[in-house]
Amino acid sequence: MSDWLKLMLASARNRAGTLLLCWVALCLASTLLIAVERLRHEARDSYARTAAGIDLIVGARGSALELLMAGVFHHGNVRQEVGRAGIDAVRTHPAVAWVVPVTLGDSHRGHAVVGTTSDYLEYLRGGDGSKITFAAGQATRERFDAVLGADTARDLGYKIGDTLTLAHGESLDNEAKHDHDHKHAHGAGGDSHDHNHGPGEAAHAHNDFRFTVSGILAPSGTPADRVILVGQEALEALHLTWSGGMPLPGVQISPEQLRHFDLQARHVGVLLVGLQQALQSFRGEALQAVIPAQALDQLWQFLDGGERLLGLISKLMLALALMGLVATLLASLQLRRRELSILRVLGMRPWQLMLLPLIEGVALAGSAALVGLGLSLAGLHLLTPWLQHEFALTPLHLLPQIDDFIVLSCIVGAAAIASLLPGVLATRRALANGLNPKY
Amino acid sequence: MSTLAIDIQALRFSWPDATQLQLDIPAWQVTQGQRVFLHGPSGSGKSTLLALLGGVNVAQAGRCSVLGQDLSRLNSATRDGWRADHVGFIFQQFNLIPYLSVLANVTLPCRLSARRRIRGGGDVITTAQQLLQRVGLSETLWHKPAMLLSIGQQQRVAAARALIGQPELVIADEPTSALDAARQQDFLSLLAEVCSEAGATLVYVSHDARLAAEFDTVIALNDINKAAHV
Ligand SMILES: Nc1ncnc2c1ncn2[C@@H]1O[C@H](COP(=O)(O)OP(=O)(O)OP(=O)(O)O)[C@@H](O)[C@H]1O
Ligand SMILES: [Mg+2]
Repeated sequence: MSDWLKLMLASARNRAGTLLLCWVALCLASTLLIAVERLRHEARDSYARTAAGIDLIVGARGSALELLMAGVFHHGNVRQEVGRAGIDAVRTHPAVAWVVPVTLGDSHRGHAVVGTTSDYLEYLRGGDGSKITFAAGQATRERFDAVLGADTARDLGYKIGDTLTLAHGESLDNEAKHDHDHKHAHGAGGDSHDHNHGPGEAAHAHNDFRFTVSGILAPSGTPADRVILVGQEALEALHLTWSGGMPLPGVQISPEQLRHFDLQARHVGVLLVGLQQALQSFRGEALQAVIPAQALDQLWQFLDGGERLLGLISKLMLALALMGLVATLLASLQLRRRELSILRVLGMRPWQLMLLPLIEGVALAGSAALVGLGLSLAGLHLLTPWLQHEFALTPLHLLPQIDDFIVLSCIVGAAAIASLLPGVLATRRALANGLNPKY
Repeated sequence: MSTLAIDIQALRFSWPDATQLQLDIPAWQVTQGQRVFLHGPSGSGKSTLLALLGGVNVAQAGRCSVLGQDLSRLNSATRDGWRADHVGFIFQQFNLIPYLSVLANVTLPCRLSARRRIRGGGDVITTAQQLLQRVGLSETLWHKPAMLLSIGQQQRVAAARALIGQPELVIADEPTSALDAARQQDFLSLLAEVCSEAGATLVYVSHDARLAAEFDTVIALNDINKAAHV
């Protein structure tokens, strides 16, 4: 058997150039196919996972997709918020079991700040359906405490006790603009570090209030990984001196003065709702409830055409690469006709002759598919930050999955079927030629 | 000594798409160990007959018994195995797998047949080297790819390959036609010699009857073939 292998390797080496080209084409095609299939699964999986457990998303009238993206994925923001009457109406509704408010609009160094309550960690579930836990520290206790998601803490390098200020809106600034005082901040007061926004954005910064990191979450595979959770009262306090998205000039409130104000949230971006039972019709403030699964379905329907097209193109690519394989193998039969008729005369069985191109094709496609799997997983890994940022999509499976092996075996199977033709031709020709191979 | 290496009775063969019979041989026998020279004009069916003797093709009718085995009774896979075990081939040219080394080409039959591996005795490589020495191929060429050799050298390698593992029948289909006259005679003598050393039956085919001197039996295909229409 190993003699055979040597013979096949020697034969392949003799035709290395053409085989290599063909192999590269197969590699690219299978990378594309596996990556597209993978991305499709990961996207559905990630979105469905994140939205699971939330029965309804309630917000001001507007786009369902916007509510979904803001409420569930903390991506973008809503155009209009829900007023207190609406909040109370939802909260006190007999069908409602729990309500998690989500208010967006502020950020810290590229990470969205979510104003919410302790119910966020109580009711929203991690990717595997379990509660989101703390990797360090604890939930917010003081008004200006903040809890960091796992990725946020890692990206920014923050620890428990560090302080930070928020910026209004999505901060588009670059990390480079911030002066990290990490090394020098170890003052007498302990190891608390200040993370200020640079002077460049002073106009939009909430520099009057500093938040202290009280807890860091364990990775959960949800959007919570990438945000900063603060109490909604804290956000309310930040915006006391603001009006219409701009700070009121000359107005300053010190933290001590805050107790004179009612800091209960007057507006909330989105309400994530868990239901007791089906929500009855509700007439009051013009609200809209979105069922996450339904909104996702709409999203998929919207994306379906493109998704299918992408799938089709990647399959066509593979088909082309396989045709290239068959063409290469057929051309190589022409090169190998002497070799094959010699082997046949020396007593090689027809089925063994048939195996030669078949094994070659399967080996080429198999190794190409494995390389493709590796490349697409590496690509997915490298693109994860981008996917999270652009599409609020967290690929969870960075190791090969069953589905990948199904795609993989489809590629190998298709290659085997494709190489059968050259195999059968090899045998036929060797048999028909008798002792005189036709040159 | 009267064992028959080849025993043909009422054999008929035509190629699949041909209208006429190619071979119609009422009877032909060759005793074991004989060196037979078979000649006939081009296209008379010499190679066709050799393909039948080697079990590459099968006759439509009659008996084609080689080394006591009626080949038409074997299925094709068994015939392939039988051929690997018992028959050595040399062709006009293109005998060797071009990218394999000389040694790898010579040992090829032993890789395809356990019987020939065992009959080769001991180490296959050593046997191959002895045979290469016997056919006069210098040691510097043994590890070179076969395609780098001259035609004459290639035919010597082919002879060594046909003889490795002591097959009982050696079939040579015009192995000298690509050589010049002097080398033709050399090669022929060498082949006849090593075959009788090994006790193998040699069936040697050529359209050039002048080469027949060294052989025990000289026969014209058209004399035994009733379908001689060429
Ligand atoms: N594989 C084949 N399929 C169909 N017909 C064939 C095949 N091989 C040979 N023939 C036909 O059989 C006839 C005899 O061919 P063969 O090769 O046996 O002649 P030959 O005596 O060996 O000739 P040469 O001296 O030129 O080698 C020819 O007419 C040839 O066309
Ligand atoms: Mg011939």
